[in-house]
Amino acid sequence: MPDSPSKILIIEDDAVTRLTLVKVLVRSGYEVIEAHNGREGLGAYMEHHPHLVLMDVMMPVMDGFDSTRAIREYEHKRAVPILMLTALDDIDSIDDAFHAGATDFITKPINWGIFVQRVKYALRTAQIEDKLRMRQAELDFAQKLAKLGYWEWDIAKDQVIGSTAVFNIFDVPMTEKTSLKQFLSNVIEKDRPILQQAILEANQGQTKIQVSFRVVSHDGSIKHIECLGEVEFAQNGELIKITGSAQDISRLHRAESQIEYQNTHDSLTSLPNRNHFIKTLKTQLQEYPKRLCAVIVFDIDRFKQINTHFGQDFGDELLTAIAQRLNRITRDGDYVARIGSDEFSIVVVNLTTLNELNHLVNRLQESLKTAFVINKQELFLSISAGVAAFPEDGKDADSLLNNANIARAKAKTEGGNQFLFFSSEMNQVAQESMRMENELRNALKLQQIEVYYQPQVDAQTLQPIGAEALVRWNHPKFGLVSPATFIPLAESTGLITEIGNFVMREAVKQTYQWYQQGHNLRIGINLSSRQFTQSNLMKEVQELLSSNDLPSELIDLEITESLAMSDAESTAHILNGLKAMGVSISIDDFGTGYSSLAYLHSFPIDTIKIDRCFVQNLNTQAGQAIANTIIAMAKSLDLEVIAEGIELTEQIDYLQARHCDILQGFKFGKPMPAREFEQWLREQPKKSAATNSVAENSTRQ
Amino acid sequence: MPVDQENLNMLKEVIGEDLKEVIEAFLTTSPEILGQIKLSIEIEDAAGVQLHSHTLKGSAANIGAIHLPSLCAELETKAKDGVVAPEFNDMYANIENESQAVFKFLREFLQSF
Repeated sequence: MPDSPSKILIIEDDAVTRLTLVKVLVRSGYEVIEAHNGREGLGAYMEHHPHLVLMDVMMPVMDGFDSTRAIREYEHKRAVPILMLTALDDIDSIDDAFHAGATDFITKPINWGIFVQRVKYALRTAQIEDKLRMRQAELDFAQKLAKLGYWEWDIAKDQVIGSTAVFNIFDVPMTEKTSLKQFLSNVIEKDRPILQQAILEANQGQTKIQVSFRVVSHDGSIKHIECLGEVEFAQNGELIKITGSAQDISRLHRAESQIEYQNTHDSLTSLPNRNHFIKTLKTQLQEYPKRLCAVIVFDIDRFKQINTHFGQDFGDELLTAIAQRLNRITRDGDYVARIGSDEFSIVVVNLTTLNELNHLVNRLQESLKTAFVINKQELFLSISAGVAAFPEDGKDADSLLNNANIARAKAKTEGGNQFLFFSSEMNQVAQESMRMENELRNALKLQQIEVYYQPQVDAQTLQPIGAEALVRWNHPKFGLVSPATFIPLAESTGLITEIGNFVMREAVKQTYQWYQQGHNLRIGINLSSRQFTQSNLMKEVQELLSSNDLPSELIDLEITESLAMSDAESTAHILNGLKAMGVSISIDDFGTGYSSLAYLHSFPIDTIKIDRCFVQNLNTQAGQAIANTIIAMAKSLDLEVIAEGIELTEQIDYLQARHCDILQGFKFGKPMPAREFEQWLREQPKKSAATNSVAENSTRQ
Repeated sequence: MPVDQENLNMLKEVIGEDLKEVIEAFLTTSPEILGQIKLSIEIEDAAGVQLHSHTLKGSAANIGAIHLPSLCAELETKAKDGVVAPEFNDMYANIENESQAVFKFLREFLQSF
């Protein structure tokens, strides 16, 4: 008997039997709880946690079987004895009682002489079982803590038995018959030979085995496992069984990896450190001696000042932010390391051309140029970088790194905030374009970017009606640089937005001047896709419109057909917004894309510009057919048509006859600076029709 | 003998004076159960017949009645079919008679207490 009296729950609907049971049990020193039916009994069980239950089978609300099942469900870890009270003749219910989870049964009429003994035995057995279960649980717990499992492989039966823990470790279901193959089914393929070797050695007489291998769990995680085993042999030397332990040593393994990791990585940014960098670069060059690759090294100009000014913590966070940004913008396979305090390096692999390298460098430069926000503080960095390409700029890791550093030093001495390629000979193209790029960056500041104006005339009267603003780069050394050369450069560096906005402001300012002088000219301004998608174009245009009194319909924003179609939905939104501000919208280079005129018409456009190539082909029947179709369709959709690239009188005649609205081309004037354009304006014979035509245009909606 | 005297004595050995209380409880509740069996037969509630005859069976066996439990068992078994048959009235009458005999015996036993 335990110290405090055992609690017995009686679940019995018959009052007389219940009363008798109570009397008997109380007299024997037990604490008794009564319940009149199964449901009440279940409630009492949950409330009182009895040590034993006496359960009647047949009861009006929830019978004994259901009640037993419910108790077993409720507390499946404790096996509290449930003794069923049942008639001796009712064999079926005895059977059912066991199935439901009853421990034993007591027949009615109850033999009172032995009844108390039965209860006592049942309680004692339960106590012993509880203790055993507790010990087992403690052992399980200890083994679980140690991630240790016990296993035994019976070779003749090919059967593995073991602790719950060992099945967990191997992540296989614990079944009564598990073969070795099933047991080891999650061992990773590569490590299986280790186990085969161990078994082979056991077969050859080895009495102890020790193996380490990996197991892949169903969740995909990998466990490192160590198995120790003792081999048992029969008299004739035949293998009987192997018994042993298995331990999950993943943590130990991780700790070892951790030490290795700390030795090769920078703790602040988690990037590989200098040692790891050199090792990786060497490996890369050895493994792929024929493959183009490059090393970029850079540091932050005046990093010491940042640290002094904002504090060390700020500097650390900045370095972390740089590391994250580098990881984000580099390609898969590229390798980023922190090789000094504020020095970073990137090994660019899988390069096919130097141009590709150039693109990556551009992207890097562009990305590092955007603000870093540390503690809500915006910071723009000035970066000096050197680039060295393998094999041209160095045959081994050391010389490559060295040369990249030389280029970086040069970048720094030349004012910093730039990327320089090491060799002048091998990377001439890249270097050239890099220099151009650096120069283009400064071109706006140095006022080398200019806006040229190409005249547009009324097709019928041939009077000036407007102009297209075109960008030019007046380079101090090379003179006028073709837009075909520098626009792609500007686009790849993102400078296009700045340049585009500059052109727009400049052209509007100029057109307003002319407007004040009495010229109602409409100015056509090209929008790049970057301006369209990345900058706040609508805000820009709004500011432009409020900066002076130029009627908004005299501003014609031109987008290319391909831009309009690239993201039709967002394009339509922006165009509708612009349209609402009153500016006019043109589709440039019409006919060169894939779009249909009908589809374009769903955009709020006013004008289409027929591409010059169609104008050039007007001497052929096919060319004429295309031009006719475009003009006819545009007219049917009430769109204005501008023809570009007019050089010949025949072209003028033809387009006049087809009722094209506006003409533009060398025939009337090439793109020219504002002063020359004014000169051109003065030279045009005055006719009153010109202003009328514009007025018509601007009211046509 | 409607009741097994030996069983009663054994119970008396185990619970002593409390046996009186148990018997008195039997004498109080059993007429009620009999009434429920009778009512269930009248309203043709087979499940009711089954349950109440089962209860009386257990209760009677508990205090050591000899014939009464088996009479109840018979009725209980028949009622399991789900239909109240005409023969139930006769069976009930037998149970009623035997019960009275048990009651009489127990009252006498109590007096000898």
